[in-house]
Amino acid sequence: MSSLFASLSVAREALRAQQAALSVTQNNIANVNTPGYTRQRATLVAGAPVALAEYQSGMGVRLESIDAYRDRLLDCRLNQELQRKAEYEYAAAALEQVESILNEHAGSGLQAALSAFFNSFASLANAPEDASLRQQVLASAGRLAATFRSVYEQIQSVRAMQERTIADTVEEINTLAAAIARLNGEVVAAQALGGNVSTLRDQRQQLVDRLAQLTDVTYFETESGALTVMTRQGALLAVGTQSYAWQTTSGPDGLTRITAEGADITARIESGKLGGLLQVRDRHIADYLARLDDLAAAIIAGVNAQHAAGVDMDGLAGGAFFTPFTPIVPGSNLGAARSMSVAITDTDRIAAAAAGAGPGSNANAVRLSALQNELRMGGGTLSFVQYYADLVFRVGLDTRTVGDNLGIQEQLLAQLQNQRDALSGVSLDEEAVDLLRYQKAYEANARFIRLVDDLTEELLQLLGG
Amino acid sequence: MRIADATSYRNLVERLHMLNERLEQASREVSTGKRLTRPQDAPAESAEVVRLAAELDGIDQYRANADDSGFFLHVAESTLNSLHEILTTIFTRGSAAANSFQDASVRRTLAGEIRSLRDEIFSLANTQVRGRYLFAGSRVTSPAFAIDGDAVTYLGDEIVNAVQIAGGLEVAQNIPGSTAFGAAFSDIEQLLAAVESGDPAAIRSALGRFDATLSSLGRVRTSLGVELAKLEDSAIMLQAQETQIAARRAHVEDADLAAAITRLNQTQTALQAALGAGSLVRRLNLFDYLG
Repeated sequence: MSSLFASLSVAREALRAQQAALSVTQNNIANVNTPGYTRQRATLVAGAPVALAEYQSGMGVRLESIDAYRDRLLDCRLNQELQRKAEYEYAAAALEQVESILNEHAGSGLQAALSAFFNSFASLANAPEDASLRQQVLASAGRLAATFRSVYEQIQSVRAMQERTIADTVEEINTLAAAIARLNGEVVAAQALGGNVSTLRDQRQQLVDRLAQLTDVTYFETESGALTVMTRQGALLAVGTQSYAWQTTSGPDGLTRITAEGADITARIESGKLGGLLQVRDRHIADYLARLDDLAAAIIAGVNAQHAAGVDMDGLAGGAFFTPFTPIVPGSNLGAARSMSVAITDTDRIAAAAAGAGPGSNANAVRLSALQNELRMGGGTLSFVQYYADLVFRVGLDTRTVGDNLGIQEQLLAQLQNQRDALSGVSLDEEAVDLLRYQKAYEANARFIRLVDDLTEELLQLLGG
Repeated sequence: MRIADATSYRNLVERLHMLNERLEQASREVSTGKRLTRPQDAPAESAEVVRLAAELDGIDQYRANADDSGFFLHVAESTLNSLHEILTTIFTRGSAAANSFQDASVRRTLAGEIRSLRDEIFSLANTQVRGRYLFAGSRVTSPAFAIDGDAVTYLGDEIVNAVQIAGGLEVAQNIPGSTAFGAAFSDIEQLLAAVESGDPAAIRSALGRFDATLSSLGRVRTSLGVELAKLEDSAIMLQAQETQIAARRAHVEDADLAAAITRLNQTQTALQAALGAGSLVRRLNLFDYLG
């Protein structure tokens, strides 16, 4: 056996090692509820044995390192799935707002207004000269136009709300990118000094995860410990200590465009909250509004053409029934629904009669009413109301698809998080056992010190005798 | 598998979240009585509900058309019944005049009677319902016939308004005055001239024309009957269609209340169980057992 004093120093090192392990355990317990915290462990190693005369003796224990239970691949995977989840989450919320506007189960009214309008011509056909029936036609035409305008405006206001959110999200992305660049600096500096950077890494990973919920990101760590973060299509966010702020500008259609380093990256954002919002804005809502415009334009053109084929109460050829729509953008009906209005104010001007017939003729009113059953939409496959039903179907299906995807994504994410927890999460039971273990080891070593103390005392007494 | 504390809590929260969502869906079904409350619940069925609603609106419109047509056709029917009666009476007065053609005063009296009967027909021919001259074709805003001495002229046109009263079923809503009355007025005009002239051959020849007019009137009344029968057909068709569409709509849209309530109770029980398990998880912790 080595000397008593050598034993004391072994015991001292052991106390120090157990104390360090205890403080790691304490830190784990303290962070049991910290999101993204990665559990740490103290790695203790036996001291190198020292060769004495005829046998070797161990040199106790020492704390080698404090390591984190981190699986970078899992972290990365989780980050990717977070992007998708956020994308679906915000797309679903936005689509549900549009869905509630077009919810015919709650009586949004476009179907009722369409039917009432065309049926008012059928009623007029029963007594074409009847002023009250003529009034009824103008009233239901006014209601149809107002419903078109209102549905269009409501969907547009959902889009306007998203516009604000898009701008705020870009702000948030810029803030996070700057914070990541700042942490990059701290990690690199701490790592160069050989310090424990686990907590800094956790913090940085947390920020990257938050960023992933806002936009699609991909990242990798350089040798120095700095994280390079960019979108999947290569728009930079943070490189080393440098962050790149994105800008928002207004496009020619008044919609927000996102630029990075002067380039328009709006169409290149694939995922995250921003991706979800842009997708709903540029794909879904744009499609719904275009369909409403197409429907309104077809009704205006169809009714006006048929109206011109008849004659009014005074035998004059029918004029424009609805205010004619002139395309603003060539090849597009943009603005047709928003500006729909009835051109006629005088009930006598409604052309219910066939050309050459008296005011009691209903032939043109019958034909106007019959327009509702003609297949004038979707390349001659759908009637007006069927086309609208198709729009309701699309909105329902889009909302449902995104909702289903969100559900699947949540499950996937929960599984991944459980996997991550299984490795990196804190279990209080486990920590309680560790606490006990290190405490007992500390106690035993302390007792050993007392033993050495007693022995030394005895020896001194012998000597002092 | 190693279970971290965060896992138990997250799983608990997720399970509660899912059960609450299901509870919400079930209670929405029970409270609204509808299975579909949003298009996303069943997109294809939601679109179908829109089309079915339009079809139901169409059926309502057909029914309104049939009601309106029925009103006009019934007025026309009773007018033509009266016309038939009066024409028959005129014929008997004409026959009487043919028998006593030698007595000028009798002829004068008979001519007077025939004239006043003619005036009744004239007023029938200018029947106005809901502000329209029923027998004026499409020129409904002015009288169908004008009279000058004994000459009656038709001012209307030959236009017949057809109205849809069911899918593929149209009804002719009016009879132009020329078809219903035209020959009657010229027959009477000739008869009056013959009676006043006292020429028995002329009277008989004028009376002879009544046959054709009465049988043509008979044909008009028959065709009117055909139109009225269409209304009955349409009522039956519409009733059947409405029942079918409404049943389809209910099938697509309405909740199965018994099933929804059962689901509501089941979910409630599951939620209670999950909450119970949650509080158990919270209780079990090694720290509680270490002094």
